[in-house]
Amino acid sequence: MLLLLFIAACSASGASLTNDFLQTVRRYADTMIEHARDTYGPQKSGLLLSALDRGTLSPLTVRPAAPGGIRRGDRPGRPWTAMNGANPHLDQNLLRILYTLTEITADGRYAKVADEELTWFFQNTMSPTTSLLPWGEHLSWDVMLDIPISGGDEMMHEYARPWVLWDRCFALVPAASAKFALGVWEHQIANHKTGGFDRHAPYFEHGPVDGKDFARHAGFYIGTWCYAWKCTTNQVFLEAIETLLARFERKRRQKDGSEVATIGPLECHLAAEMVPDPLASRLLAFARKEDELIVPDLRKQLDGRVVAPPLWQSGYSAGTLASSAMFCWARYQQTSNHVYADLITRYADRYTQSRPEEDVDVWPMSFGHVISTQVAAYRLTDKAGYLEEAQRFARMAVDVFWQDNPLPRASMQTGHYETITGADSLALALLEVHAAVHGLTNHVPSNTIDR
Amino acid sequence: MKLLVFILYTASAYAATNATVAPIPVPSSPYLPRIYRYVDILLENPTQTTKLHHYQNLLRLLYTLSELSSKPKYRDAADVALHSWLQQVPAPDAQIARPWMLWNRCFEIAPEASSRFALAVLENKITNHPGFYLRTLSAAYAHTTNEVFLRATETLLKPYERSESAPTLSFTIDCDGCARLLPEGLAARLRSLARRGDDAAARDDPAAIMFVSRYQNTGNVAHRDAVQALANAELNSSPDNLSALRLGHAISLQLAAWRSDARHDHLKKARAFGDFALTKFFDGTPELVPGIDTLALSLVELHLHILYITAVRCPPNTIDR
Repeated sequence: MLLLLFIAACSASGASLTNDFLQTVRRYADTMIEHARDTYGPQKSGLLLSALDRGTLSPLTVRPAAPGGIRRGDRPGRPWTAMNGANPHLDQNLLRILYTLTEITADGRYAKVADEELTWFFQNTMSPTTSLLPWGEHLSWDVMLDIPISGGDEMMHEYARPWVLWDRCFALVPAASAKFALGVWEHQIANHKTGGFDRHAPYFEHGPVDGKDFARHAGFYIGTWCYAWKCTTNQVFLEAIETLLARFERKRRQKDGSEVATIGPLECHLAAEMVPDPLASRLLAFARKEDELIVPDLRKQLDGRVVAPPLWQSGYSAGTLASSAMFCWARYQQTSNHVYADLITRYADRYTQSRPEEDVDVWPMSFGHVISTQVAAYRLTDKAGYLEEAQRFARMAVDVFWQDNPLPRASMQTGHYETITGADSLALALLEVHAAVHGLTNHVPSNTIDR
Repeated sequence: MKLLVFILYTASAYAATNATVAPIPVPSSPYLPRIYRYVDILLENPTQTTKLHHYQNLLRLLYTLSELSSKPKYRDAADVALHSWLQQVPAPDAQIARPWMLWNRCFEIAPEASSRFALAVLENKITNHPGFYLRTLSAAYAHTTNEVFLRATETLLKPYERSESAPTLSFTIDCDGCARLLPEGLAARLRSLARRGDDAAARDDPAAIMFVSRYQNTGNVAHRDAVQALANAELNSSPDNLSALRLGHAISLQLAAWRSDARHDHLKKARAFGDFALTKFFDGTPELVPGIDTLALSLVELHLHILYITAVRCPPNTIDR
């Protein structure tokens, strides 16, 4: 009897803690829906603002202090003035959370808001000349002025990370989605023979250049075109994928004959599941080779043979060790390759009992990745210790970032809300913990897109 | 009125294809150029450079200036000063004013001298500033894994753990900071002491800048409220009678409040303090006076905030305690 009472007490205690995580995320979503949708300017778009004043739960009247490591031109607002941009690329995990909340709570309001955001954004903000969207690394939609804006001096389209909501986009706005995908091919890729491109392309007018073709962006484009092919069967998208694949098959080999990783395996594998052979086989072979080239470097980091990323401090183009774990988790989910499973548990172990270093302006994203790493290790090993660590980090993150407010703040040293530092990724991690503790069968999206 | 609406509407529609919004001017920031001038002249003066190691915030600033300018001369000057500092172990009765926050760099450029220094500090039992002592021991352990530093740390902690009085907020900062460098058992004890210190903080009368440090490392809303209340209280104050040290703290406090609540008043007040500081302390011949290092650091912090520069991170201006 005593044992039963003890178990009941423990369960009750555990339930209250984990319910808090769902409550935290739900309150975040509810507050965004109530206070952070665009009801300003001539067009009441309903878009979610990507930054907000946490004190007033209203749009910022200033450009607040920047979280550590965030560049001026990447923030959702015009330079030197109030920050009032909506950037679905930065809010992508929040949109995924809204869909997930509808699944978990059966409240359709959340998914409806996400659908409305995607629909309005694709139908109303696209450049009529380039078909590119004002989102990503530098652009956003100013909800006060109702115009596309840049955080910097130029209106440059650049992906901030992969866009993983294509299935939903093609279901809601098929024509606009296909148009954007075609716009990426026609206005982002400068040379259709060699696949030469620059990660920056003008939004307003045609003007792609063959410049800094960061390989990861090729992955983002391939991850767009494969859905476009699936939904339209327009051959141009196969041609686009093949062109970039061929480019990086060539660029993989260095002048000294050695080989380096380029695009990474994730989007190539994803695309291979949608396109026909022989392209599919080529993509899969490419992805497997990327694995061969990437895994030794990851091992070297964990073994201390090369300088590893920091545990907690993020910055522009500089992730933490846990963000590497998130790559491994994404790849493991594609392949079930035990090599990646081993790496994930090693990453998780590195964070055991860890706390952020002194005076580091930690981002919520860093906590989110650490938490998701622990949950991934738990799912791989079934060891309760990982889930306990995930809960410990989650409690710490709620205390540090949410404090006494329904919205999380942008970083440990700032006080406003701004998703560029991954508040949405942290919230997604909290949902993962909630699902793991309660054994939910609902699908919680993987926290693996911040790359 | 209808005409105005029409113009606005037309402008909005047109803006969908062209950038029609007038650019906003880059805010002015005279602070960094003045600091460069001050430091450049100072580094040319041998009577001043031999004293640099007594101005810890200036050394931290020099490393930051090298990052900002990509010029190694600032970092090199700081490294020379660190070597000088490591040659002079404080006597047992020395009055230490601050913890030493440059141990990582010391161990990086002079590991043996740093170890010798730490062992000598241990031998001298410099305890008038327990934070200085604790920082030295824990950094030495982190870099050498010599267990003698762990045992000394345990000995240092025992009276604080037995005492019914909570640690001061200054020592609380050091306990929490050092916990991150030590094995878990000892780290947990340090964190426990830090919690007691935080709980008791309201009973002390600590410098505002200590609340900034605690808030930035814990997210504790009580510390945030203290920072904001103290910053608000200074919004209408005059800088006329402030020393260089107090002025530096006043600027950094306003910046901490600006980060925390995004109220423009705080940034504006930090600028007003900064403008006053330039006139009073940086117009004449550059020389090292007490607190000038803290003030100079705060002016660079102000510059980075005005221009939203984060690629180079300013050291926290919280070590005067």
